[in-house]
Amino acid sequence: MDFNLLDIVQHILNVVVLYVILRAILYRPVRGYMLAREEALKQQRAEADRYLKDAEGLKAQSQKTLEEAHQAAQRDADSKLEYTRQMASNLLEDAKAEARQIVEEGRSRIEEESKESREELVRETAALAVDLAARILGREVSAADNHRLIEDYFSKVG
Amino acid sequence: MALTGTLRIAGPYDEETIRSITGHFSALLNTEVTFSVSRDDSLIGGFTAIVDNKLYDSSILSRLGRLEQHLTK
Repeated sequence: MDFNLLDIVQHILNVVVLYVILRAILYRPVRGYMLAREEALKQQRAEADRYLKDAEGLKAQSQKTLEEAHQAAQRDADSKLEYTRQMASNLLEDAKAEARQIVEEGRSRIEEESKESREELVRETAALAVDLAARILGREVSAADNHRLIEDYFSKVG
Repeated sequence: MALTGTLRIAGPYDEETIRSITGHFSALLNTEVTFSVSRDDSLIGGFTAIVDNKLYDSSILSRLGRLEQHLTK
C-alpha cells in the first residue's frame, strides 16, 4: 500500500475544514440549546423545589391548623361536658332542695293540722263538759244550794 | 242616797233570798238598795245584779264560762 503525503495532508485538511464547518453550524447552536435547556431545567427544578417547599410548608401549616382545631374541639367538648355536668349537678341540687322543702312543708302542715285538731278536740271536750255540767246543775240546784251560793259570793266580796 | 238596780236570779228562790241579797248589797254599798227582780233560769244558779252601773255576777253560768275558758287554754 502506498502512502501519498499529499493525500494525507488533503484528508487532514478535509477533517479540519469539516470540523470548522460543523463547529460553526452545529456545535454552537446545539450547545446554546443545551445550555438553555439546562438553564430551563434548573429553573424548573428550582421552581419545583420551591413548590415542594411551599407544599411542605402548607402541609405543616395544615397539620398545625388541624391540630389546633382538634385541640379547640377537644377543649370545646371538655367545656361542654363540664357545663353539662355542672348543669346536672345544679339540677340535682335544686331537685333535692325542692324535695326537702316539700317534705318540710308537708311536715309543717301535718303538725299544724294536728295542733288544730288537738285544740279543736279540747274546745269540743270543754264545751261538752260544760254543757253536761250545766244540764246536771240545772236539774240538781235546789233553793238551799242557791242560797248557799249567794252567801258564799257575799262572803268573798264583802 | 238610795240606789236602785236590776236583779236576775235563777230559780228556785224565795222572798228570804231576795231580802238577803238586798241586805248584803245595802251593807256592801253602805246605802239602801232596791231591786227590780226577775227570774232567769239560764243562770242555772246564783244571780246577776247591776247596781250603779256595776255588774255583780255570782251565777253558775259565768263560773262554767270561766271553767270552759280555763280548760281550753
